[in-house]
Amino acid sequence: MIKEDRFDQNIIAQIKHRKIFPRPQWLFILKNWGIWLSGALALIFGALSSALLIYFFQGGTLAANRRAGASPAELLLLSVPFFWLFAAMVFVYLAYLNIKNTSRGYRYSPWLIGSATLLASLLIGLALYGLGFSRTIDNVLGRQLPFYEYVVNPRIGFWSNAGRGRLSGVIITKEDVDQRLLLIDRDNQTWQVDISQLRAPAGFPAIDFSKLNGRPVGFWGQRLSNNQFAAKELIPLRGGEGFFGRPGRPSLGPRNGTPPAIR
Amino acid sequence: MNQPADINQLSDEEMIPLILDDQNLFVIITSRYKLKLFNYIRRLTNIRDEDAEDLLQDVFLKVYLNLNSFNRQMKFSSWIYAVARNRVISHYRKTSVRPEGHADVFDDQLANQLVASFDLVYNHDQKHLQEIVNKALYRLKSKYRDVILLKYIEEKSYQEISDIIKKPIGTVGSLLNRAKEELKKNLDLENFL
Repeated sequence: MIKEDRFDQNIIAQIKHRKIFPRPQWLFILKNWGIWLSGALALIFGALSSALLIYFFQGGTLAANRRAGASPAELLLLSVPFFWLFAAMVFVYLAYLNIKNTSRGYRYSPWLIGSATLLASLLIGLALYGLGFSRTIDNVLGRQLPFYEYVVNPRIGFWSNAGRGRLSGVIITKEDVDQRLLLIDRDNQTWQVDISQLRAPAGFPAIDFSKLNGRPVGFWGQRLSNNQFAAKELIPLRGGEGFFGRPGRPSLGPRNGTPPAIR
Repeated sequence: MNQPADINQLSDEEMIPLILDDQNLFVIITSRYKLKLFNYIRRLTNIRDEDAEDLLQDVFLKVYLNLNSFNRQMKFSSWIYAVARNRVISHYRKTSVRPEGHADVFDDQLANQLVASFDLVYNHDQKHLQEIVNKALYRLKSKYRDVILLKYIEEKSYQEISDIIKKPIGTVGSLLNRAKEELKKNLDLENFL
């Protein structure tokens, strides 16, 4: 049994001997604010990831990918933006953990906190997508991130295989007279693309090339030579503007100067 | 310093600002909680009295050190129980041993109290009651034993248990229900019912 008589005095003696003082209140307030702040940051990053998830989900090219010979695994990889799905899940989980660890977080059901965090992240993400943040962020990442075309935007990787009839890049100019356009691919190679047999994507009555200048597109067709390609179908690619506009690449479009000569 | 004449009449919550001014007053808190927490620690663990006393000492030093973190939206007693429980858990984490209830911390009175709470009928010799209840409790998973102890031995409300084990009230309710079912099964195994 506890030695009652000495115990209380022993505690006080230890407090004095070890010079223990209560930690200042501001330290706990700061800690609590830190938890809320990191929770809010995680929620913002979760919302940004959701915005990009929506952005890439919107730009699905399932039917074209299938026609272009994608395997079932490739179809899945190209249809679901796994990178952003994973990022959104990680950030939403971090936000959930932070909210759960606030001073009163334990009082609420984990399901309630989890669903509220997920919903908030999706709603804010939707708003950010509507405001055009997804495209801006994709441009920044496309310019900076290594392996962007494999990890973040694998559609560019998939549509960069001219030998198999898949060509992607940025249109730099269109020559109306002989139904040709010039395109720079991800390796900085300039292609002369014959568009005389080109059909518009489903749902588009006609292709307005003036609007596509400087924007990434894919073509399904046939390679004719090392720098000539006959296009049959236009594939509107989502994202990748920053990637194709990386520093060191030729300037894009006639607005930025004279287009480079065909090699 | 101005201190009320009947300082012992003040609530724990009212004591905190006074203790922050004068550390000697912390003795009022230790005297109020030392026996309760000592028994709680003993019921949660299977350590010797001396070790339980050492743990209790750590608990009080931790309480003093973190007095400013006490959240006034909960009861002080819930907070101090939570500190004790966390200290027990971290002790077992360090020693890599699972906390197991002590086999002889329930006396006849507590055993009867627990049995009465469950509306169970005990038709055998009273002197074996304590042993039977101890065995049944000892077989419970620690999460179930934890809530049974807090509810029926420490007589805490659902809200207080929620504040101590840091789980929502709904979870406390379902934990208690499952714990009661398990305990009844264990008592049945002991030919109790």
